[in-house]
Amino acid sequence: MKGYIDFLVYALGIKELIAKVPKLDECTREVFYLRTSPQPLEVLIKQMEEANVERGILYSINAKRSHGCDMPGNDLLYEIIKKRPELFIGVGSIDPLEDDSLKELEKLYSNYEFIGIFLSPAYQLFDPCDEKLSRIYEFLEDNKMLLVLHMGLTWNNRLSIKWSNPLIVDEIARKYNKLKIVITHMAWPWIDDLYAVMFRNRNVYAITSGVFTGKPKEHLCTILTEGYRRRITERFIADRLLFGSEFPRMEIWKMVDAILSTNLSENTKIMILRDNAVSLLTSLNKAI
Amino acid sequence: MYGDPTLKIEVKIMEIITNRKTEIIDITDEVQSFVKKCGVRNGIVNIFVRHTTAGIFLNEKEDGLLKDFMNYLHKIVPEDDEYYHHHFFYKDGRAAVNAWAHIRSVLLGHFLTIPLKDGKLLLSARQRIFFTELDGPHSREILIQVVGD
Repeated sequence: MKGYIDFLVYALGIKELIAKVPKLDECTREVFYLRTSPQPLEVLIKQMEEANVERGILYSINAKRSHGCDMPGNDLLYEIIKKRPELFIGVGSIDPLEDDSLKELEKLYSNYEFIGIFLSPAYQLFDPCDEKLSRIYEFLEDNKMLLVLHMGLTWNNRLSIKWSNPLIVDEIARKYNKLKIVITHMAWPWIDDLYAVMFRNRNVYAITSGVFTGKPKEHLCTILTEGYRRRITERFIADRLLFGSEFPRMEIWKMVDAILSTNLSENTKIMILRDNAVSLLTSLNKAI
Repeated sequence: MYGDPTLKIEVKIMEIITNRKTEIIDITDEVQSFVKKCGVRNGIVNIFVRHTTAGIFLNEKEDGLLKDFMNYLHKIVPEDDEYYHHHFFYKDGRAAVNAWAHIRSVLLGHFLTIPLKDGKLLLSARQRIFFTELDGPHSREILIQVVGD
């Protein structure tokens, strides 16, 4: 059986990285709001093996302007990916409001070969529709890089969620209609708004990450199969849903088991767990 | 015996990275090896698991039996049940979704005390020491404390 692809793994809570940048631990606790004990990188790899995940998409978050820290920063992220390129693929991060953001983006594209960037209006405090971001979106679109937008609930109430509703993405998706945009956490609790954006824009994808309403199985039923959601999932957006565990906020195997335990068709389950990610990565010239 | 200058107390923190969601690992040889290294001949050894979703027990090492232990733990405390613990846990900054692992660990217990005589663990021929992972893979710590002379 071919392995699954985990489209959302944060490179946080990793002992080896904290040893290099001790401040990363404090940022993870206070900004990212994860207070569990750091674990060696080997634990992430074993989590992937146990869940039959063959590739993990690893993320960085640039929160320098908003919180004085990178989580973990593009250079550190690249170090992990260089160590295990057969396991990990990188999504970097930039501060879209900084003057040199385009230069950093070019580095991520040319030197690090990251497949895209992660932007979080909540962690990074910016309006995704700010005109200053046009040059970023144009670069991503021209160079077939992904824009992963952090949407939906953030538990840390010191962060604003005023730009976390996916309806805001509609403007970007329409204007840059060749840009592939991936929305995290199915934008919970604004799932109907997510549907609206995905129905109108074929270039918008969503990651099934996040556990907001109970245990993984309960939450994934809430967002994928309860009531009319099963119909939407199966008939309308099955080809644009991507599996994501959001490790280390959740163990990878628990999220895989939760997808497998839903009453979705077997075909849709494998599309979410693998096939859609392979198609998307292939469209970015990143063969699996 | 308290205050006895010949009394030795030695401690080791044994680190394990587990491989599976649930896993039973025989640590008898590691414990005996540490006792030997300490040079303590007579006394006790305490083995303490520093986690709330792992456990420790003594029993026979037989593959079928080890599977039975885990199967019964799953039957007694099923994952697919209602637990009050399963909500957003502000202390950790993540959803708590593993009440079953906590409860299973309580059933197993977190420590063992084994007598030592002539530098050897006084286990029966069939007894082995098993560390039990209940929510892995994870990095785990087991504290081994040898007390004696």
